[in-house]
Amino acid sequence: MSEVEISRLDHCTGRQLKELLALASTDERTARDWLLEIGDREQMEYLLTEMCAAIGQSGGELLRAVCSPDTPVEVLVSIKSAAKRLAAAADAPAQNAAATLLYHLSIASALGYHVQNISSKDVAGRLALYRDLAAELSDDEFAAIFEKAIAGAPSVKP
Amino acid sequence: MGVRERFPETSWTLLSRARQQCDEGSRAREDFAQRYYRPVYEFLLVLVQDAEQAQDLAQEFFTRLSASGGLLERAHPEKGAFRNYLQQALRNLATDYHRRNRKEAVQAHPDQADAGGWDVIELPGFPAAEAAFHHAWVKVTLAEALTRVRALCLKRKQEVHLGLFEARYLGEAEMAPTWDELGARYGMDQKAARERADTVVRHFRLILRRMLRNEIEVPGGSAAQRPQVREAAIDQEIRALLSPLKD
Repeated sequence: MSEVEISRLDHCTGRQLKELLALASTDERTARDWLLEIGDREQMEYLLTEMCAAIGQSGGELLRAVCSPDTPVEVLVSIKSAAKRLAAAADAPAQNAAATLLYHLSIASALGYHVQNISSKDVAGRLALYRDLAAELSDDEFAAIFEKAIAGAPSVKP
Repeated sequence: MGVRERFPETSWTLLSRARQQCDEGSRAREDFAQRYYRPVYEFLLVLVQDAEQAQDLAQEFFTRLSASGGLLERAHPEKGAFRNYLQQALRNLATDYHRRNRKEAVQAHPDQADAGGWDVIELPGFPAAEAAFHHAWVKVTLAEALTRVRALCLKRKQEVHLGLFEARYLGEAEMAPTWDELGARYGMDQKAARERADTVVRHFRLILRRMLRNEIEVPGGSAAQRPQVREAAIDQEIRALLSPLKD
């Protein structure tokens, strides 16, 4: 912990400390962007494992696969399809976000590591979202996948 | 730094390591003292009203924690939040201190000398000391989160985002600046300013919630607790941190 932050907080009023704490609360009635806020990998692993319970798949394995440069494109395609099904079957926003992020990670991984578009949608149409995800996801590994996808996108044949 | 990297272990885990009489235990005791020094010191300062004495007592507190048969060995996660345990330990230390200095204590609080002895008294300063402890605890927790947020923003080249967030939430002015004012400082409109600050808010929320999860997680407890239950427990912890704070 930095002394700089402590001394900065020494200047804060009680109202400011409360406001900062309240920012972290989900009690606040603010709209949440679930896709950006699911960036906690541990939570995402758990949500995916929970959703995949019926087929005995682990969320950790799925995430490791999409994050690895060695995962074959065919596997990424099958993860993308599975993620799409999971998102459709989700019964809570957090579950939907976890599946949707997995979906985008599989596409981004194919773009970044294999320079292949495994989606029927044009790559250019995804770049704005991937830029946001690269900038905003707190998990470095996930953010790096989207950065690689952005870097690899220009080389992908339409 | 990602949100899942190098998070401090839970207080209970650290405590458990600190019980070991070896090099690792010694390091854990140092970590422990570093993590909790400030709330402990603030609590004692309110009670004794003397900075040097408060420092000595804080030192004594951390020494007693790690002594054989000491406070570390009597800690049990199932009895409640770690900070409550720490506060109770501090109350005990303060009571002992006053007992040792009975003569001074009787002079300071003659009305309580016959109320069952110094073993059972509620020292008059306790509520204020507990408030100071709580305030310092919140500040230390927020400072840790902000340090991590800053590192993450710098890594992501989000200096402007961070600047907007800090100006909005950590400024010294009585009233927080408007988004229009903040945007103007950086040559952007209020919407862009707000969106950039919101990016940092999301980092902050994730990081602080992860820290609080570590704080309330009991070692050996149900690691597979449903996320909804865990998230509700984190919100409850935030409410517990918020409620005693005064504006």
